[in-house]
Amino acid sequence: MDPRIALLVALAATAVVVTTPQGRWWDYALFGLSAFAVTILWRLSPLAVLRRLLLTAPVALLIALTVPLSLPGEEVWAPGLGLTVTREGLMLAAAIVCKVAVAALLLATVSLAFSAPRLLRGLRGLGCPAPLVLILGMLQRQLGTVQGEWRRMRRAALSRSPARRQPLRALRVLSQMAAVLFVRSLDRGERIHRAMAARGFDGVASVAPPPSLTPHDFLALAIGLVAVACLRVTAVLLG
Amino acid sequence: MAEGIHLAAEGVVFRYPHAERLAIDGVSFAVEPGERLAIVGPNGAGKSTLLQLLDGLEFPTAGEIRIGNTRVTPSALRQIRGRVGLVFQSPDDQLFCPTVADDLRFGPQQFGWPRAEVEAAVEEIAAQFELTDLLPQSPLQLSQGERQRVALATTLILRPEILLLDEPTASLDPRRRRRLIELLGGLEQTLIVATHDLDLALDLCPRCVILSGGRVIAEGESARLLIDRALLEGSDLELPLRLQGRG
Repeated sequence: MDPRIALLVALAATAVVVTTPQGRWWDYALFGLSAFAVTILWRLSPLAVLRRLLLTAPVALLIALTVPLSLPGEEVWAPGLGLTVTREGLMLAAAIVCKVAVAALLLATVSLAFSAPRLLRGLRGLGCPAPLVLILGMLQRQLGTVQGEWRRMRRAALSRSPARRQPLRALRVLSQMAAVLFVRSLDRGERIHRAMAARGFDGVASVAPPPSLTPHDFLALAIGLVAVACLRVTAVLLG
Repeated sequence: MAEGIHLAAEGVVFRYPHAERLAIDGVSFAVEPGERLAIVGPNGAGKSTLLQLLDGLEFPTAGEIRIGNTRVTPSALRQIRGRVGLVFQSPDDQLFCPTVADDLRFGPQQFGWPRAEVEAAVEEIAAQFELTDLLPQSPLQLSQGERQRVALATTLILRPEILLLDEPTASLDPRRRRRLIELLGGLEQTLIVATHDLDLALDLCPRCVILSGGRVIAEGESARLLIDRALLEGSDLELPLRLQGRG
């Protein structure tokens, strides 16, 4: 499948999930199960999907902790300091967390099913500006390089450290390493810019347009959009 | 410019912003078409800076550099970079795209080559450098030797007349080093190689310039200069490994 089709269907599905009214728990479950079925159909590793989902955990946690306190309504619990957890707040937080989880599952599915370069080309094909696609591509490439550099620095630090270390001392070393990594990354950025300039980069990124969509791709798009529409209709009928 | 000169540096002086000392101090030399010149010197001699000046990544504080009859100035950069290719010391700096194929396409796309021509050039250079199987891979997944080959290919795909190489053998094992020397030896381009690997200079470049502290200490035949122990030691260099231990 062309990544553009997957991106478009995922976008449509996300829009449907996000616009589903609050409190339609069975609808959220239906959308979540459908997205999960796609991960099985595409034979994605559940562990890899879970790992990607966990990336959104801090956002979900923040919502779960703050929204119940911020909405007026029927009091459920008063933890003190003038704070009140309300029933309305809890409902809204739960609805947002469900929507975020389903949207994250859709995103995780697409990002695992296609390689980063194919997704980037797909984004370009959907009209994403060329400089943005270039920046995303370089970011993806450089994250790997920075990760490798961090690993090497950590190994170098560990090789000169005693087996058991004091947590405070370890924290200090890690923060120093992070600072050095930041400076090195800036320096690397400068060198990469020179390498780009040496190959003709003058501030304007030229990215090749993606190949045209085939009739097979259009068929896949139609099937995907019809499936999303069917889900929406089923949810309405169930409600 | 004299007839038959491909590249010339005349009295080039360069100082990095906020630096106290000159990085390049009055360097002059000339290279003929198809010639292979080594710029040798210890770390910090100014070799990499000189290559960046030759490619128009920096501009001389004084003096001038010419590629053919074109002076290296900001307004002539597009022309210069189409004629001069620079392979950086670290492939990790040079390879910044998500895949090998994207990295190979980058230069031709920047120069506005038609799409069909870009793809044909990618196929051709990949076949020449035995990279065809690596095209969809991320440069991160490659070995150091493969990265070095890809870095060279990303420059050569633009078919430069002059190829500048910065420490090309710095991270290669002996076998890969030998293969790279054979590969470079087969190129038709004018080559300028900055290195402190004097064996490489002897193998690849009939002529060399010895640089120390940003100044040209000596210029001439590699076979003559690189066996001069006194000259080399005066420039913080040592005899090539293969000559060490001989009387």
